[in-house]
Amino acid sequence: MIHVIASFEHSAYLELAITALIKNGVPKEKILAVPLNLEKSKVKKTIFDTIHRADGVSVVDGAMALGTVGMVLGTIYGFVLSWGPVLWALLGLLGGAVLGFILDLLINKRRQERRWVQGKSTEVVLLINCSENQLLQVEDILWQHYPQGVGILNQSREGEHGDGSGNPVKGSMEPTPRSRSHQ
Amino acid sequence: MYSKLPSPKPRHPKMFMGSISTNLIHLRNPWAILWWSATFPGFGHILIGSYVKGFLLMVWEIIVNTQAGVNLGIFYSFTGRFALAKEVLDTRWVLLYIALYTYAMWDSYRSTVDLNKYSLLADREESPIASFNMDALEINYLDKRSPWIALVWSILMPGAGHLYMHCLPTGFIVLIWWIAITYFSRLLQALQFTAMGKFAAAVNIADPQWLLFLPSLYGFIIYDAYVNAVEYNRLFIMEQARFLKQNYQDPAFFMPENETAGKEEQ
Repeated sequence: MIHVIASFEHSAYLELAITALIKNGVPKEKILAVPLNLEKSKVKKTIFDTIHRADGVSVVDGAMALGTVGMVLGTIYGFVLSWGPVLWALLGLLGGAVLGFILDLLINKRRQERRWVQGKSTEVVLLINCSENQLLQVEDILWQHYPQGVGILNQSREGEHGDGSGNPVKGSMEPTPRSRSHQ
Repeated sequence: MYSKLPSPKPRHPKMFMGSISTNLIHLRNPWAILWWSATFPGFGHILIGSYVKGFLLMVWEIIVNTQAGVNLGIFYSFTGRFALAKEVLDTRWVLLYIALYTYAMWDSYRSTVDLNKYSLLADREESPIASFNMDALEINYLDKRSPWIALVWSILMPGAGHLYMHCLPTGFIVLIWWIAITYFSRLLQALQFTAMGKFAAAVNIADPQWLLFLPSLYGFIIYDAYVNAVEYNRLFIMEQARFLKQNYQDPAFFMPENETAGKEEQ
């Protein structure tokens, strides 16, 4: 009995991988998908909102609010300052945005605990239960759909693919190398 | 889920997917919304998904502000030329400005507080999320899109970030206003002079009444594109996670066995 374990981000590729497996003869009930909860982890805070997730208090809130203030003031006083309204507006936007960003970071320090997991992380764990002769194909299909990693758990039992000594073959986790990916 | 109206209709919907845009309710800071209404009436309403109110308040702001000379009055007051400020404010219009300006702030704050409650209710109900909607003219779908790309496009051309997010009404309306206001303010000519180092010429050509609309429009559009990108990504993740849980967690799934391994350890 072999289990192939893969980790993915949420994406359309994940559903393409699952449907490709089904098309290639892996029954639907032998595929287990576990979406991970990303919000409650008490992990070190992220600084930047990413494509994957944001904290309720986005880092652009303060930056854009104060950036706009800076830009208005820059436009107004630019008319009486030597560099003109355009340059001062841009300087005001930049200055205000930096100030707002720093203030946001300072204020939100207290909310660290509620933050999201840091950086690019696994969002879904996929377990596929397959036979030994399906293994290569399953692995190939998974690698074709941009997983974050694929591992194999081989627990072949006595009488199935034993080593002849009568002892059960120990379960082993072998990570497959990245070079097998078709990217 | 391939229809815009998931059935049965939820009591507290989380989102609505039309073919030209996706509307959703999520938690927001009511003070941030009030702040954007203060920078430009209508922006707070656009942020919380109340688009008709928002777009019409924008039109009102631009007409009444230009007629009353509010921006010019602000400009002269901030630069200490109070006599000029009194002169440019047109009393035929200026009082019309006040009540609706305050109303826009108040109403967007109030709506945010209400919608935050309904957002929580929708989440607790696990209100359905549509993922794809297509009609004869447009295709709209949830996908992961980069908030930073939305931000960069908005910086390069306000409106383009929204088109990337498939918020077509906001995208095109902002695009039109941006072109109109840059034209009347003569921003691009001032930019040309600034780039050449002719700062005095830039000051002379720019029109402060129109130029003062631009900072808030620019800041808002960058912010809104970014926030939408982040929130649409969350919707995408939520929808896919639910789909996977419903379809790929068969109770009969044969889990890796630990019975023999457990015995060996003992």
